[in-house]
Order: sequence, then structure tokens, then C-alpha cells
Amino acid sequence: MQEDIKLIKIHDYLWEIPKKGGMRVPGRIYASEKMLKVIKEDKSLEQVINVAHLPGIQKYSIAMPDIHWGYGFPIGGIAAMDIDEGVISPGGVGYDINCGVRLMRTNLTEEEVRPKLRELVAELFNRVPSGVGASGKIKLSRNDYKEIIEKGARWAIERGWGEPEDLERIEDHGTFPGGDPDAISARAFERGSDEIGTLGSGNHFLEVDVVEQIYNPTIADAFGLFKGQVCVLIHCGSRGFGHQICSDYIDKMLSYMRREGINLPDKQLACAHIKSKEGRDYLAAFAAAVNYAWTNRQIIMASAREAFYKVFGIGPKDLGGELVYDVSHNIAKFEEHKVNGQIKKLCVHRKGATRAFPKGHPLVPEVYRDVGQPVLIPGDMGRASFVLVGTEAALEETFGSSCHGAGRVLSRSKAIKSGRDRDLFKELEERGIIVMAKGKKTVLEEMPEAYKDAEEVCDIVHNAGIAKKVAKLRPIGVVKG
Amino acid sequence: MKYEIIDHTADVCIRVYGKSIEELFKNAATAMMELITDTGKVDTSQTVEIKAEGETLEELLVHWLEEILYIHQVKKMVFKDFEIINLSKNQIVGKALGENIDPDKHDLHHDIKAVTYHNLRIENLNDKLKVDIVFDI
Repeated sequence: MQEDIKLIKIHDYLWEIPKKGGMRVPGRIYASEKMLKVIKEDKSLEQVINVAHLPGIQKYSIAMPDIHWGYGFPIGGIAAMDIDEGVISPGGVGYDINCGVRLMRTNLTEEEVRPKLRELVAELFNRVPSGVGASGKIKLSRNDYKEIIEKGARWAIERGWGEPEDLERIEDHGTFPGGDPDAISARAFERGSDEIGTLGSGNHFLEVDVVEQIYNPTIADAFGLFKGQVCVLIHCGSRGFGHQICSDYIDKMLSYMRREGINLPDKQLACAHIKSKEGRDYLAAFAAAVNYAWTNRQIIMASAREAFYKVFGIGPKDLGGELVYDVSHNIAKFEEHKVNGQIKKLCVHRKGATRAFPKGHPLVPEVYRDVGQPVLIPGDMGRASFVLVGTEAALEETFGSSCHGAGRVLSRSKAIKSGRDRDLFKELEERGIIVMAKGKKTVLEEMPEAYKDAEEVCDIVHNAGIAKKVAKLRPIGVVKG
Repeated sequence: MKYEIIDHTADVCIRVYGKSIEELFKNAATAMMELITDTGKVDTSQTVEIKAEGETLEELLVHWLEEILYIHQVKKMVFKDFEIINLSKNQIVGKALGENIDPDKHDLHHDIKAVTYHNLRIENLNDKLKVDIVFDI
């Protein structure tokens, strides 16, 4: 419990932790009074305070309503650093570098898909390897790696996994510059060599969803979404390649901090100045993992398209399986933001947070520049996921960021304990959701009750104005690790 | 008690005990493997040497566990037992006893992405040592 942390109400959906001790900036939490009670039950607010200690942090250490206790940074945290004085923290990105979500639309309706749903989920489950230690069909050579590090998702498209148009709907067109194979350990290459095109386990998934409700018809139309439509939502990241890069650089940064005399409340916040050798090396390795993750999601989406073609006996034109958007929610981005009335280039850490840029922003892809960037918020496997759109208020208040998901409330062990006697597969099937998973325990850990309701989280960001609701998605098929 | 599982919202936290540093390291490795699989189903037909270094004892502990995790993930092995051959402040040499993963025999429960440093402190608790370790899942 964190009852002793002082919170000042700014408005109904925003709270401030005043600066004290070694904090360089105040903390700011987007939450309702009700959600704040849940947030106070773990140690995440303490982590918001810890992040405020990082050198070069600007304005606030920010937390979203889906905040929960992570390691180092809270999950659902945002911290923007001055690029001259500030630091980059591998823990502030996370082990799963460029973990993110992509949404693919189709021309199909629930009515058309329902009769073959079981067959479709089985086909997706067979085509997209998942589960602990899942290996894919693709074995990466050193040369493949070199090209993935340079090209990102474009590498996959050049090999037939997807269409060139897909690139227009990925952050940074699916390529993050500055990747350098020499900054990456042999172990990272080894761990990632057979994992591309695989989901992994934990909270990662591939879902077949139905658009259940449209909140903003004009923007939904621009995103290609309509009521009753079937979509595919994919959530995964850079697999063992990214995990190893993060581990390697946390160690390098712990040495750097000892040398530079930087003391922080938690070792997991390990960091180095952005302009130091350690900082630059990390960014070169990080960029490679960002590109790996985009390639991974690109290949998985291509496999999902193939599954639809096969099960429904249709071609690309009839399926209309177009990428709506691909967001990164474990990431650090160099972006320009207003600080004290001046435009500054900052390094924005989003650890479990999604970019939410408004219409007109030059970094919003051209296809969406008139409406704003799609913000994809996955929920749990029994309730809903959401599509929102970025806003001007987000740009002003949160360095153009919003929430990233539902956020856990139950620990994995508590979830397993409470679900021991339940048949979740059957329960969900009775609600019209077909679940296929490698590990039964994973399904228990990921049970809907283990999460906050994504709708409540999205309502808070909507009401606070840092993203606006566009559409609600209801799951009908789930593939888990 | 060798270890217990502590509630952590997103990831998995274990509290490990040991009468000595050697026992603490051994119990931490056993606990991690028990999170990954049912070690009762693991035969000790193969032995792998595990070496790690670290600038502090805490970093040494993280590296020891990461080394085991690496062999588990890349060499596709599971382990039941561990032996510590030599442990100094900056270096550890040990053995992991186990076998290759057999999907028909070994259920893998958790994909541990990494061993974190979050609040990691080896503490004296009366006559024994204690450490909390958070794994990223």
C-alpha cells in the first residue's frame, strides 16, 4: 500500500505528486479517484517518484491510468529527457524493446466469419508459433540480421511478407535509423535467431476481433473501420533478441553509473547520458531491436492474412486485409516537444505507453494526417480492446502519449489460484470467444479478471482529453502463448 | 524454507533464503528452474559448467541466473539441481545438472525474459541470508 504518498488533485482525472527529496520534477498520474485506489495497492506510485530522480527529466514523471508495478519504471510510465543533459535508461524502455500492437482490418463481417471461426483460430494457431521458447520457421543468418537491422519491416516486405503500403501505416514507416550490428552481443543474435515470426508467451496474443461500437464515425471511416467488421489485433515484441540487448546494456550502465557517481533509488533504473559512449551504443543496439520487432509483427500479420485466404478461400482483394496501424509501447523516441514555451528535442521513454499525436503533426503518417494518429489499446481476452485517436492535449501535456492497455490488477500467482477450478476455455467459448493456447497456465494468468477493464482506462484518457475514443473491439478468437 | 513466491502485479518475484552465500545462489537457481518447469520430471543425465562474473555480489547473482537462463533458452535444456564449486565476491563457478528439453515430458510454464535488478539486495536475516528477485515475464 502507498497511503503515505501525497497526491494533489489537479482535476477529476489528473493527480500530482509534489517534488520532494531527490526528485527533479513532480509526478503526474492520469486516473479517476476510483482507479487511484487500485493503483495505490501496489508500488507503482513509488516508481513514478523514482523515475523523477533521473538526470535530465523534463516537466513531469508521468503515469497513465493503466499504471502498475513494474521493475524500475512503472508499467504505464512516460519520461522525456533533455538530449544534452539527460539519460537513456534501458529499463525505461523495457526488456521487450518495441513491444507493440498492430491492427489489421478486413472486409469480412462477424456473420461471414462466425461459421468458420474455429477453423480460422486453429489455422492462425498453427501458422503463428507461440508459447514458451517457440521457434519459428525462419532461421536468421548474419546477413539477414544485418538487413533487418538496417531496413526493419521493409526486409519482410521485400521477401513477400506483406505489401509496400503496409509501411505507410507503421510508426517511422517501420524503420528505425542508427542500428549497428557491432553494438550487439553474440548472445543477442543467438537468442533471436529462430524467434522471428513468433508470438512468445505471457501477455502476448493474436486476436480476431469484431468492431462492436463506433464512437466517432468520421475518424473510424478514415481508419477503415465499420460496425460488425472483423479485425486482427497482434501484440508482441522483439523476443529474445531485445531481451538480451536490454540485459547486456543494464550491466554496462551500472558500471557507467559507478564511474560517474550517479546514484538512483533503484538499480533497475540504470542509465547513461544520451551522449555518452554507453548511451550511444545502447541506442545503436536498441534501434536494431526496434527493427526486429517491426519485422516480427509484419511476418505475423502476413501469416494471419494467409490463414484467412485459406480458410475462406478468398484472395487479397476480397479479404481487404489492410494494416490500420502499428504502435510501439515499449520505446524511446527522439521527438520535438514544447518545454516552458520553447521547442526542444527530447528523448521520450514510453514504458507501457503509446504515442498519441494529433492531426497535422508531421510524424503522423500522411494517410492519417487529417484525422490524427490511431492509438491501439488492447484489453483482456474476455472484454474489449479500443481504437482511439491522438490529440493536441496529449502533445501539450504528456509529450504526445496515452495509455497502452488494461493494466494488471492480479498477480500471476493470484490469478492461477483463483482460477484453479475454472475451465476458462469453456467459459469464454460460452461467451462466443474461441481460445487456443500452448500453455493452460498462461490462460489462467491472463484471465479477464487479472486486468483492469480497458474501457475504464480508455474512458479516463478520453475524459482527460489525451486521446479520444474511436471504436470498440470485441474478441471472438484468441491465440495465446 | 528455500524460497517463496511474493506477490508482484506484472511479473514474478521470489524471496530466496540461504544459510550461506553458496546456498543462497543454489536456491535462487533452483527456484528459477521451478518457475520454468516441474523439476520433478527432469533427469540429471547431463552436467553443464556455469561461470559468471560480477562487480558486486548482487550483480554476480543476476549474472549467475542469467547464465543458466541463457543455456536453458539457447541450448534448450532444463535443470533440476545445481552445485557451487567456487564462489568469491566477483566470480562464481558452478554446475547445472539436467537434460535436453523433451516437449512430451517437460511442460514449460514461464518464458522468463530477464532477471531484473529491481530492489535486489542481499540481506542478513538473523542467522540466514535473504534476497528478493523480480523476473520479467
